[in-house]
Amino acid sequence: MLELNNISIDLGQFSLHDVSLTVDEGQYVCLAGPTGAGKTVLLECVAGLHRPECGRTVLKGQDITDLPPELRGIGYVPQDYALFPHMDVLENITYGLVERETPRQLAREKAESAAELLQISHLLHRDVTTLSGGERQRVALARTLVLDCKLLLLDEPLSALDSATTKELSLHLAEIHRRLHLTVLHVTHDFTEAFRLATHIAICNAGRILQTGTLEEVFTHPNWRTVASFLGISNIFPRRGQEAARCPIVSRLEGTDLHPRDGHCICIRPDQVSLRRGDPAPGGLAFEAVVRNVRWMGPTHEVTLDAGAPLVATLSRQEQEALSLRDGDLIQVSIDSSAIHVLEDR
Amino acid sequence: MSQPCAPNPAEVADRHAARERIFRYSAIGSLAFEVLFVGAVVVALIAYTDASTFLQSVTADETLFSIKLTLLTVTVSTAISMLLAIPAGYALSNYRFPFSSVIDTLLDLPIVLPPVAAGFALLILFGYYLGDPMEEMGLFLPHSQIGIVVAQFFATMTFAVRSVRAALDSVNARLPAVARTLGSNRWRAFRRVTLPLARNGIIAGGVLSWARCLGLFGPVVMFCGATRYRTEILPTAIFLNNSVGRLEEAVAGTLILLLLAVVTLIVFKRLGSQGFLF
Repeated sequence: MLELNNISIDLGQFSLHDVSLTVDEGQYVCLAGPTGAGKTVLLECVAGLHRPECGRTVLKGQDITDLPPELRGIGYVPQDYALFPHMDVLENITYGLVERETPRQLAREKAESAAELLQISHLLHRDVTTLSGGERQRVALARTLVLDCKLLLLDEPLSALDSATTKELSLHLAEIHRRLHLTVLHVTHDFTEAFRLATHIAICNAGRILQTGTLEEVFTHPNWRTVASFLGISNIFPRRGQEAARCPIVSRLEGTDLHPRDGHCICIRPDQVSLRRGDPAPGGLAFEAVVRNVRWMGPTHEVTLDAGAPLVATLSRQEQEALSLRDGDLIQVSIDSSAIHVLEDR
Repeated sequence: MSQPCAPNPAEVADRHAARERIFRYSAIGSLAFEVLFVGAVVVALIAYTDASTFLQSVTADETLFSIKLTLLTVTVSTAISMLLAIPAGYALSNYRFPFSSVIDTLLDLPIVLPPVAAGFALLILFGYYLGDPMEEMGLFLPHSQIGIVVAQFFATMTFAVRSVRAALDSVNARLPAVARTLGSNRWRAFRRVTLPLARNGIIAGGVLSWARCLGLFGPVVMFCGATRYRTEILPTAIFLNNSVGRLEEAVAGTLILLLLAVVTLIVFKRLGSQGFLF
């Protein structure tokens, strides 16, 4: 559906370096990364608002690199929604239809249908400046959806909304993606948003795409330290340095295939760290650690351990109830070797 | 050794209150002086004449001629200024140029150039350099009514461009960009999104350019002279009438300009764009 081949652009504050990305038809791809990573610039390049200095953009087999935005047929919803303040909701939604010289009655019917889909039928004659964030988001989405674009670009569509609205709109977006068979490229700095919506994820940092794949592939096997950090994986241990010297995990891996080579580090997801009282668990890595902090995180507990170096484990409510961990407790830690991932230390 | 006396809180409070009063009165006093000064000038003008003399002066042939010529030239020069200012302001607002500081300085020159110097410069360009070739084409600008429009255009074009640019800059650049992704080409996005949103600012700029043309005297006199029934716009008429002692006519002309200035200010303030005024 969409292929970005070696896109580079320098806009001063933001730049992209040799970015390549493929989005297949029907996929919901989240382009995730920290603020300032160049995600929005990439999206604007796809929309045609910037012309890359090198590289090509191909949509459905057609090179669209030199096409102006109006000829690309790509739907784009910017972060601030960019509703036209001098038009009411209906005029905003039918804007693109008027540009396509759609007959007035048909344009109105399409707008009403999109408004019904997004549950904003009651807002059609409202002044857009009086809408709430969630309503504005839905209007911006309806304005794009009426144009029947098969590729939809969403720039942080949920970032300005409260958590209840975010959750509700996430469900709605997922439903629209499924029902209209859309291909979506969704920019976010919040990886939890990707978990709610995406089928695939691309991690972007400092103007480069670091890793792409299904959510599960990227989350379970991050290949860069930056990716693991962005995904919230806290147990990342470098090969060298004071932290590595004190860490029993790194020292015990010495001589095994899992011991990180130069320029690599290891990472262990907190949910893959097992804790038990009494005897150490057989197999894998096993060692003792002291509980430094137990934090209730709602459905889970986050336990910070002192194992020479700080180590974080996540426990379910039932596990914490069984172990009754308190600060200062001595606890047996075991980590299966399949939970230890070696990744590039960049 | 005696200890210094501790300040009496009541005395400190009194001194503080006295300083506050001085500060407040000096601020209000300055404002009052300026308002009274302007008020005195207006009242003096109105008091100098009476209704019948004013009407007689205003309906005199020469005054009517200068009113018509003024309104015509000012409107034409403002229209030309704004027609050029909209694309020029768009270019300044949207495109990057090499030597932009040179362009900026050149554009600002008509504003800071002394009016007499501006008129003289126009005379040199259109009289000395372009006079003969233009005369051969049947168009000699110095001392002509078209020359008045040229002088007014030269004096106000920067003002118009700056006003339009400020109005266009105030529109969120993302809006026309999104309009383009929705199917508008550059012109349609400008016409359907940018222009309506910048409309008030552009109209305010036009109104102020019109007002600025209205009172223009130096460049017009230098470039077009002060010939009765030929290049006699209202400021020129005031100058001519005053120089020959026809004060009633001069006052009538001044009151008309004053009236037009007040109307302009009201229109401008109704547009809610006071920021462009100064």
